[in-house]
Amino acid sequence: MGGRWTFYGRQGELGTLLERLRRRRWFFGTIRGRRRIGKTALIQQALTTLREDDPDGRRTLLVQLPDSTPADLAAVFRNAVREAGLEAQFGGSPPIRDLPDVAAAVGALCSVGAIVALDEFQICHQGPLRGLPSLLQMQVDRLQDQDRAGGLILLGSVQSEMEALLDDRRAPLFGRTTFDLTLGPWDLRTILEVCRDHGAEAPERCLTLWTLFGGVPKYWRHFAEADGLNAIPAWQPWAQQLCERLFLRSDAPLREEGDSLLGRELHRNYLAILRVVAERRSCTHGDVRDALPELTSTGPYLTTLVQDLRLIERQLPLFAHERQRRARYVVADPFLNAWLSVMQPACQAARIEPSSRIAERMLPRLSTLEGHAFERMVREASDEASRAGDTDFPMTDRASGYWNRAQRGTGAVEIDVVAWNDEEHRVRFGSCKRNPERHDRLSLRALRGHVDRFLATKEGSRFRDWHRELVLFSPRFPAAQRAGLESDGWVCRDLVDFRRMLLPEDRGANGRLPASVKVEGAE
Amino acid sequence: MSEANLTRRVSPESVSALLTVENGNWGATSLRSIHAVLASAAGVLADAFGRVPDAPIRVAPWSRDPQVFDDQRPYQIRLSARDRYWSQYVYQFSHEFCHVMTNFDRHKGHKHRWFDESLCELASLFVLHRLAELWKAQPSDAIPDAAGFAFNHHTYAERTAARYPRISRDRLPEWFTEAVPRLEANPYERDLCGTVAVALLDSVHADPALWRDCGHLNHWDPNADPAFKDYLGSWTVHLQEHSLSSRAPAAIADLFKVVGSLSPGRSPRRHASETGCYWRGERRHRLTPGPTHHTLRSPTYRCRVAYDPRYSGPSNATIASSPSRDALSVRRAT
Repeated sequence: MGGRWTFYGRQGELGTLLERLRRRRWFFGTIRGRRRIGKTALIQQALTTLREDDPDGRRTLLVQLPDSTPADLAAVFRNAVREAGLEAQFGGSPPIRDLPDVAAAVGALCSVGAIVALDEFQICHQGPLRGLPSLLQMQVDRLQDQDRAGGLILLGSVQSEMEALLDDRRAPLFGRTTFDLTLGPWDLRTILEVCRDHGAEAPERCLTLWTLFGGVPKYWRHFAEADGLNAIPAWQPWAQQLCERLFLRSDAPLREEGDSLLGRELHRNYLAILRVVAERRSCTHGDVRDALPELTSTGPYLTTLVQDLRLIERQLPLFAHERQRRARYVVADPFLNAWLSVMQPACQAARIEPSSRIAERMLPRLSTLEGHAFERMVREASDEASRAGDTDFPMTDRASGYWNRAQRGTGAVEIDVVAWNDEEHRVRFGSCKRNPERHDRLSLRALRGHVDRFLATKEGSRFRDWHRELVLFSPRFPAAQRAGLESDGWVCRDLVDFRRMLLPEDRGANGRLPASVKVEGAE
Repeated sequence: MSEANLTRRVSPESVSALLTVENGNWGATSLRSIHAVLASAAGVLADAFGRVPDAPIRVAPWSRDPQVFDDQRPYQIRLSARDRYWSQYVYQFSHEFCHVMTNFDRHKGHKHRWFDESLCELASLFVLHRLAELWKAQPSDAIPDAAGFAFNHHTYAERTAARYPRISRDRLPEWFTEAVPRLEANPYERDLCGTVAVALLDSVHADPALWRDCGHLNHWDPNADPAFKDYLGSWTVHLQEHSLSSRAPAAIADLFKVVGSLSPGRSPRRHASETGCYWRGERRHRLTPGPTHHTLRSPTYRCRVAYDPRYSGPSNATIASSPSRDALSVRRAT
């Protein structure tokens, strides 16, 4: 297997967090993001790095709130205080017995400059701990006027519950935060770095892993810790082993992950809609309605899934108005997408069939899924490379796709990637194929046709006089095919090119970061 | 400053004490590590220059190109390096630190700025190579796995140098003659400055004491030097006035075959009194007070004279400013 696991990516977030923590001023921050996205790892890494600057400096306390009673929370808090060696702040064993005591202890610690982080804070939205936010409000209001106070950081995963606790005008802690960090999935640069460090440098493997895990650090770590996987030379047996060991076997770490993730956020109808969207890869509102005739109204569910839960993404074709009806819905999280469309059925089947047979059978479905994932990966990679300034095509707007709802087949337009540069009057039209051989004569002619028809539309007319580039994307182009296509005027871009753009050598090597105990795995 | 003073080693602690790394979004790293990296780079250059900077230096992150601000004390340096890309920190900081050591804000906007830029590029490459050795031999505790990282400085320096066109030594003078007008028009022509830097790299590796001469740049007014050979001449004169070796200008003149900049000469006072002040009829340069020019007083003129004491020709000085009521600058004849 590859190198040792360390704290990957999140440089911007860690830098922002460290900058806040280094200021000797009161702060009240939140770190939000889906489960497994690395919130706790981020705060732990920040505290570890902070200690490098000032080994005897600020005291820190990280408490994971239990989904339990106030008395249990008080016990957990007491133990955490003892473990962190902060008892002296209370003149001995801290008198923490109930919720008001916990809040008072948080206030007392912050008053003497300590940093207190409360993990899993979404638990306080409902249930026996729901009184904690009001009690904390009193402490926060008191501390914000103090000059040399420490800080309080709340970490939480369930987006809707964290929003109810912090962003609702009626919530006790509303409008009091001094910073809010929302952790998204890893960027592609980090993913390419992890692939490089852990033996998955081959573009095909990188695509498979991204299709399955998206940018969720915890899942990548499971992969990195699966010994011997990358010794398998061919993609097919490697992918089978990967699925078996991470999803299908009885001891697979991700066997229950999807269900547990969904179970926390969703009730039945949402789940049904999510499954419909995942199965179809992308679909319209009409498709959802047709697939679920028993639901009288799917609109509100879709709205909640898009706007509140952010599990589904509403995609619009280029230049389309927000209210246009050509919107397509896709599952926003690649892991959930893979789970619902490929992994969940396979995990269920694995209860009664040998996992090796299931893994073999699921590969074609996984390949199809990869085709769709690749399109998204290309758009994200193009955006990221442009943002980093290391690209042959700097964009002035985000890469997008275009499709119409032509009644006649001949009028249909579907272009995977449209990217443009307003200043240089350059536009790129791209076609994404997981298998480079699919960029055949027929497909190339089709792309030209789509582009011509697009340029004839109202939206496309602005590009008519621009410099036009037709780009073909695949995970990896064989040299001969690439040479042939490029000699015919096509631009070929693969993941090797993106790796060159996103991991440029001109920054030199990155030095070692002393990782936190959690990341090092010595926890 | 005597030669004996110049050979004194600068203690790393004295350089380190002048450096402050400001809080900001430096990415995934500690301020302590950044400070150690920058202090090690500053230590190499301060040692080479034979002195510490004349004021403290504050370093902060920003997202634009690295820069040291004019006319600020403490010096304010901004870097775009982030995280633990130590070679990038060294590269950027050494460049800006070299500007500090070459007195960058004494005279701004003169046509020989390209030379400063080339030197600073050279400083970056020089420090990277030095730190590759230094980190391996004496790794800092504050930089995690500094010894293991050390060779990356070599790689980075070589990769950077490889980006610039490499000109063979025998073609350098010809290339240089063609490049100078472009450099004078745009001192930030990276490829050209980089080529000059790479050409000089072997010389400073072989004789790091050449940096000490660079510490005296901009102590005279380079605006008064119409051509690069005059600039080298003024530099030589200045160094000799301070009893320094003036090996750097000689080495540069030799490498690029800059004709007429350096020649064996006479004593300055004798030369000036012989040639007198020569009126060119235009005010070209502002008169700069300071210790770098001899002042000749006469009932009519006070002339600032910069000269090449080794010059043996008939006319070693020209006046490069107007015969104002009280002052003239005298320059070497070309």
